[in-house]
Amino acid sequence: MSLVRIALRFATMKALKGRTIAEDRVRDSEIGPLDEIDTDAPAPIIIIFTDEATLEVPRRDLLSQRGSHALVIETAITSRMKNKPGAWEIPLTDAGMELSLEVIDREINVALMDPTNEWAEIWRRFATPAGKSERRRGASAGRDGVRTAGSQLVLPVELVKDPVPGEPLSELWETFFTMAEAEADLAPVVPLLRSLAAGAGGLSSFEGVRAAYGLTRLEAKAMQIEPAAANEAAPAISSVVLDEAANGDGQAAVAADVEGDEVPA
Amino acid sequence: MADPWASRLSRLDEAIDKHFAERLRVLPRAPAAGEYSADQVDPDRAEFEVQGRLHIGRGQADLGGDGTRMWSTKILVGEAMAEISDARMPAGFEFRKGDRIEALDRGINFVVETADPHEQGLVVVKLSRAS
Repeated sequence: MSLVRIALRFATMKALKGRTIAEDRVRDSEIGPLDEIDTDAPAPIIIIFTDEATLEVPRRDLLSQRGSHALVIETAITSRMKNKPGAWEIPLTDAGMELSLEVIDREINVALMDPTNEWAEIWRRFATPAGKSERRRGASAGRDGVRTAGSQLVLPVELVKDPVPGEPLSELWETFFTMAEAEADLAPVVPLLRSLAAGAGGLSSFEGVRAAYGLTRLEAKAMQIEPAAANEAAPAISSVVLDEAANGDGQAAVAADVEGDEVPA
Repeated sequence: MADPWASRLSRLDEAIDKHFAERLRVLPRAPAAGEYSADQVDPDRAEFEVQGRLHIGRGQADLGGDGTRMWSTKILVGEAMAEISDARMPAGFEFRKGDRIEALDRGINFVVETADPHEQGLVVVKLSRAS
């Protein structure tokens, strides 16, 4: 699970609502089949997915979202939909459906780049498109009883890191949560997301650093980011060897055996 | 002398219709003025009601089309077909792609995709759902 992918879907959905001829029919991860007839306004629908990602995990930093996340925006038009005067008047001919898809694609791009769109601003702060995007066109000519036209935009994006539990939320995350709380459809899940972002708490600043990078205690100690425990005894040195012959430049090599776990290189 | 096989087939169709046929309204449409215009009522062919058997399948398919499996969005689909006895059809009427059929008792609208008038004693019309 990734908080930033959830945030990305929310921001994408909100940035697109009301900005295209799909109007407010922008949905998050619809799994079941669309039943556009059951809606009040059977018209084009946009659905947002973030199902796939290829990530690099820098050592144990599982909260790092470094890598490529596929933001998938699919648009569906079917012959069961109905033109709406003043909003969507392109007829449901084959050419008309294709035109509607192209119009929506353009509207999506414009909406996500719109400097006056506050959710698009959040989207831009969370995500940076990187790599080649793909656009696929799908269609069915009525053989299965419904003529459909679909557009699929796969946009590879790089995302910011997930919040580290115990660390104060960054201004970006705080702004995102505040905006999500103000949205009736998102507000119910914001407390859960906030608690996941905040974690259980009670971490010292040193432990916070370890949590941020998934460091073992010894790794942290080796990097001198772990305070010595008050009652911790100094490491026992069992032997020190000077080997003047080891280096040709006359400098001695020093090897010390320190009792305890080995610090990884 | 009437073909006894055709006569039997006709009686069989009637018997099946009695149980399975429903009211269909056929709305002939004229080609649109262009690819970006809506179709229009065909002034040369009058609309009519007829009893016919409607078959509607149920299923779901990938929005991308048959077998693509690269899309996340699924849509409800279902093959649809109307079978209308020749004897019930107005004389000389031929379905054309784009004509509309309303299933009056179900409140579902269809567009004619293809029509096959060559089935013995039946007109078989392949349909897609319309708004």
